[in-house]
Amino acid sequence: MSDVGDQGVLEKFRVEMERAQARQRGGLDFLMSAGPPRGQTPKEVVLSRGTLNLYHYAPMTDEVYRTPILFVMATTNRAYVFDLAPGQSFVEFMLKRGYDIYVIDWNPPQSDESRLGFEDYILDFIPSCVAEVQARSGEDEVSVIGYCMGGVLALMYAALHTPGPVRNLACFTTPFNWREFGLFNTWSDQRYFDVDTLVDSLGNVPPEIILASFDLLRPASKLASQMQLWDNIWNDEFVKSYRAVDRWGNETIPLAGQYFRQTIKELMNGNKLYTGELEIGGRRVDVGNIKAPFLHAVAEHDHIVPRAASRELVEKVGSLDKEEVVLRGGHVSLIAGANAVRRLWPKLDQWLAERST
Amino acid sequence: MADTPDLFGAWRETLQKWEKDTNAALSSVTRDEGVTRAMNQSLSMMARLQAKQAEVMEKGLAQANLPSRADFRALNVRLDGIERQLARLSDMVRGLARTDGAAAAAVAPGPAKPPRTRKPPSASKKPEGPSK
Repeated sequence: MSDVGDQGVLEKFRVEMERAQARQRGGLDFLMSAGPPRGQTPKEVVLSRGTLNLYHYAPMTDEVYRTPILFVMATTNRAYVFDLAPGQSFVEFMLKRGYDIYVIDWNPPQSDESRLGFEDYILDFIPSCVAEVQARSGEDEVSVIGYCMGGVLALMYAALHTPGPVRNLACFTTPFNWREFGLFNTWSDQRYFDVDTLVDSLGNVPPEIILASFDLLRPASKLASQMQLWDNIWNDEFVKSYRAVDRWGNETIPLAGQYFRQTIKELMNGNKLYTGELEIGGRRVDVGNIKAPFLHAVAEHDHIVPRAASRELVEKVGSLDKEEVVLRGGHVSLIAGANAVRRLWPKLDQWLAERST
Repeated sequence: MADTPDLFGAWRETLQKWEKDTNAALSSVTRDEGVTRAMNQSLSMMARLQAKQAEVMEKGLAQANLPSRADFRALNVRLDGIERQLARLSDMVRGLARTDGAAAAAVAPGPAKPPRTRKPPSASKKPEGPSK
């Protein structure tokens, strides 16, 4: 081997030895320190009712865009994924770009809330939040943004409130054709999965079941990600980001029983959002009725919502001004972490800015 | 420069391949109808057992004159109700303060709201108008 080659090997060896030492220090720090702070961006709870929380974030610019934004969080997890840590916060990014931000966060539903269903979320919770945003901002129009199941709720709301207050609608990784949901679809096959027994026995669906089903989609990934953490534990930025996202992912919340029952029967088994047969409060939910500008951002490597399940949404929405963007990343890294900072956040800013005056 | 072997690169690649292969293999197992049926049967059984266990526990606690989880939940619901009422009242107070300008300054001197006049960066780049 040449001298240059020898030097290269020695240099790599030296780097790896340094990292090995840093891993020991980093590993100790990891074990000894508390989890990173989360949700640090200043906010005020402006509406709180059982499972529903509405936050208003303090503006960070001297002037803001006319149209306020309402984020609708998925019902399975807490909304601090939008505000992981200073410098890693979607909300902070959008505030600094001049938006007025409101976020719906779901508390774990209590046993008396097991009867909450689509009607409550679509015809009560979201409209109440929109009314609150309108009252506080003094604006009639609101941009609504939903993540995952929050996107499904936002879609249903927008479809049933048209013409209405939705100025813009953006969905992230939102399933539409539930027949294409892959393993989730197989596991919830009505021949084998008795959702009524589950809900009638337990009331709300415990987070352990939801988390286990997510983990079962990629059973080896948890262990692999821990090994990846060890490999990168010398890298403070990696560790910070890993801890924030990992903690969020493990903090799954229960699902209201009736809501879960409807999700399985109406959406998963019946695929009624896709076929246009879904009815909420006696009214048919047709995404073709949505006329507001529409953006759907999907992740190239989404293991939870397969591409086939989200692909047709943009085509079926009735808006003339509509766009789908496929971005690199996975279900979570699309909206949080270093990948999101480079891709989704600037894209959303660019798309919304022109439509928020 | 000559290529140098990456000491840990091979290990990383192996890990990625192991993850991918294991996920694919286990997914094909859980996709199987028999496995799906068995998983769901055990889930239903677990749910029924849990419900039965809760019922038995509740009876036992009642006999021992101790509050059950359901009692605590009921208390929690009542506390939630009280919190909701308080939130509604404080909203009303804030609303009243907003409608009365002088009182608003005294009761709730909230931060000044930025004007909603922001324009997108592209607007400032546009030419002033077509030349005639």
